[in-house]
Amino acid sequence: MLNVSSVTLHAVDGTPVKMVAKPGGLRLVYFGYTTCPDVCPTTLGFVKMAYLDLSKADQDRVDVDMISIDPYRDTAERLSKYLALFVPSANAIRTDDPVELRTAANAFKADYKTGINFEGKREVSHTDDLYAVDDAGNVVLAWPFGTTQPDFERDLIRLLAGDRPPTDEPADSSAQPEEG
Amino acid sequence: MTISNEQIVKVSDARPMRRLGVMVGAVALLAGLVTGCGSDGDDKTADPTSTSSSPSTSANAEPVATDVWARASTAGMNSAVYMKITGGSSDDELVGAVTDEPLAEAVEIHETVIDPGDEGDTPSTETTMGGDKGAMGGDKGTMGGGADSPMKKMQEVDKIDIPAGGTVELAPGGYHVMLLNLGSDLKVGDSIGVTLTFKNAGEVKVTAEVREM
Repeated sequence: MLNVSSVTLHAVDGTPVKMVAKPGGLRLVYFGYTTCPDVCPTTLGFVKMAYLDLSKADQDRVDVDMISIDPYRDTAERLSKYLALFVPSANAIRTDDPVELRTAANAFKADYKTGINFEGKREVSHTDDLYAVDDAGNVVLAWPFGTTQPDFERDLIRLLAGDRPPTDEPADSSAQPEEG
Repeated sequence: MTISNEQIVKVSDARPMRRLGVMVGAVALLAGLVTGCGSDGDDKTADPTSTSSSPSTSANAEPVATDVWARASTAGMNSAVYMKITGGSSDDELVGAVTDEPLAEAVEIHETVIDPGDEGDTPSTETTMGGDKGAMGGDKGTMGGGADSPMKKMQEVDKIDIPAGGTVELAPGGYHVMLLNLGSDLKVGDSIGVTLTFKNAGEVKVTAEVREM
């Protein structure tokens, strides 16, 4: 299982954000950029809807992080403003240090690429998974884009209830069904 | 209401589509006589007598856009307009879109695609949980958190093919009409007038409802 506890980034207000959830909680981590009007808002929109459906107690257990893979355009102000549309309590995370960003992405096995295309326009590519990290820093689930909102929300609720997806280890005694 | 040139969507040669809309339509009409008619036999919406008549003379010749919606967003950010387009009685292409009010710095047609390049950079790992379902109850349910997912990116496209009688969806993750750099907030419940330009059918006006994500 992927463990990302070695990653600590910073929110735009300077607060260090370590990729480990609160005890008994979850971090929902997304790598994206604010200029994306399509994939990123869809995913963050799902997070928003699911988050709002949680009880206050459960909301307190969940931290939402967006890490910008386009810090060139995503200033602190822009990133905060963008995230406020979704989950106001989310951490707007960006770094101007390209190595720090790449190291963090590699830990999640996320990838991104930014540059200028032949037409002189800025072009950004990125993997679009949403990650759920537990309080040990394990990535317990990664939802690819295309996951429906109801599936995502159901998974989130199950994760918060302590369920975990089936693993390769036979010792895992979680009771959920193996197949959908 | 006049639309400033800044609002005209860029197409391959950046010509002002709106003014040429009628002319393009007329030229395409003639082209349509030759090219647009091959599939009339299978075409669900084709008028049986219109195999070689000008498409825009029959009532349902135009492509029709339904379920037109835009994402709520704020000033300075981008947004996207989505819809379902059902083809008319002949093949057509969506070649442009503008908002009727100057809401954004630019309006472009975009597609989210898989970035084909740089396989070396994409880490290959164990699979994610279930591919398109990604649900804990789904097929694979691994804990790998791996990025088997490819990278995605957006790119501007010159056109979207709208086959006669076919349905093309502009939906999240695929095609969308992108509104770049909004001048003001788009709030849930707002309505946005959008004029779509089709190569053959010319301009079609629609209203996009602003929705929450």
